[in-house]
Amino acid sequence: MSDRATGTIASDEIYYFRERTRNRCYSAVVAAFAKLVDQEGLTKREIAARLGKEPAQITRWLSGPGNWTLDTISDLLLAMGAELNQSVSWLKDKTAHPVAHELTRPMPAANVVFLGDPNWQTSVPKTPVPPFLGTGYGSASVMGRIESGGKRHASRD
Amino acid sequence: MSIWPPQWYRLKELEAAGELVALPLRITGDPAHRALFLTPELCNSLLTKHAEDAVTRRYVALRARLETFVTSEVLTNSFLKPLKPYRNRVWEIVDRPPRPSLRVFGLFVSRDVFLATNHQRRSVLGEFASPEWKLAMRTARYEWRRRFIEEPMPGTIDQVISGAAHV
Repeated sequence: MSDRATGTIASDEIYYFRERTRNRCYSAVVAAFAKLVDQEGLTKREIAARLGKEPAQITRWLSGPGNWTLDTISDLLLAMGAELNQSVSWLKDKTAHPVAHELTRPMPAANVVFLGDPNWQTSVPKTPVPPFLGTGYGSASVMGRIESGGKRHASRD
Repeated sequence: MSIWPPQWYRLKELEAAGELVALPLRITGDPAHRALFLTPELCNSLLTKHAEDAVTRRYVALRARLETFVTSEVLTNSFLKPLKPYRNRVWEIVDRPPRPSLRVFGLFVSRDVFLATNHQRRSVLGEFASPEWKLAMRTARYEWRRRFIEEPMPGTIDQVISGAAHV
């Protein structure tokens, strides 16, 4: 890890990562629960019974990760007969994920293309994209106002 | 690549005009199962450093929560709830602890594509159907109508998102 970050991490960065981790653990556990509900008809009442808790407590846990601790995760997974995989991935090594919503990909051209036009791929008019949009989904590929969209709503501009 | 529905082009047009912002994922490489767009006001609240650290931290937590909408394969019916009257097609994203509990309101552009319009502290909203709730929902509808001619997508949670789980 020769290129690891140095210096103090900003407090909101630390806080963000805590919440991110909490949400990711929650998503993983809830996905496992949903799978067992679907495949085996597992109920919250059964989980509660296995853990010696009230069903309302399980409902609260499953409603959101706000108050989750490592114990919460451990208890819920144990009751489901599961555990977390223990693997760590490096943030610096993360690359574009193969799962990407279509709106995160380049926008298909919406203007009329004439068959046989050798320049059709470059015939879409391009306008500069405001720099702050560069962080959004597919923003780097936004080609500005699209002909069809602009005309369609022209009366509202 | 499939043919885009007309409202997606409108969405991109609004994004290019700065009238909507796609929620930026903090970590490159996270999966994007869905797409979430924000009004600039809501985006500013999320990304701005506020005068009080506690407020900044609360919005950082909200951002992590909203990113879950995009990145999580499964979303539960406690994360995302339709608000009555259902004909308004307004939904809330629930963000409980850390206190204060927050609600983000919005509508679906299409399946898995959410426009988050406004937010409010749960404590301010009070009892359901209070004037504050109604105002929050009216604001959501207003922000929608400012931007789209089409009505938002109707349907149950299973219809408006993939990976819906009932807990």
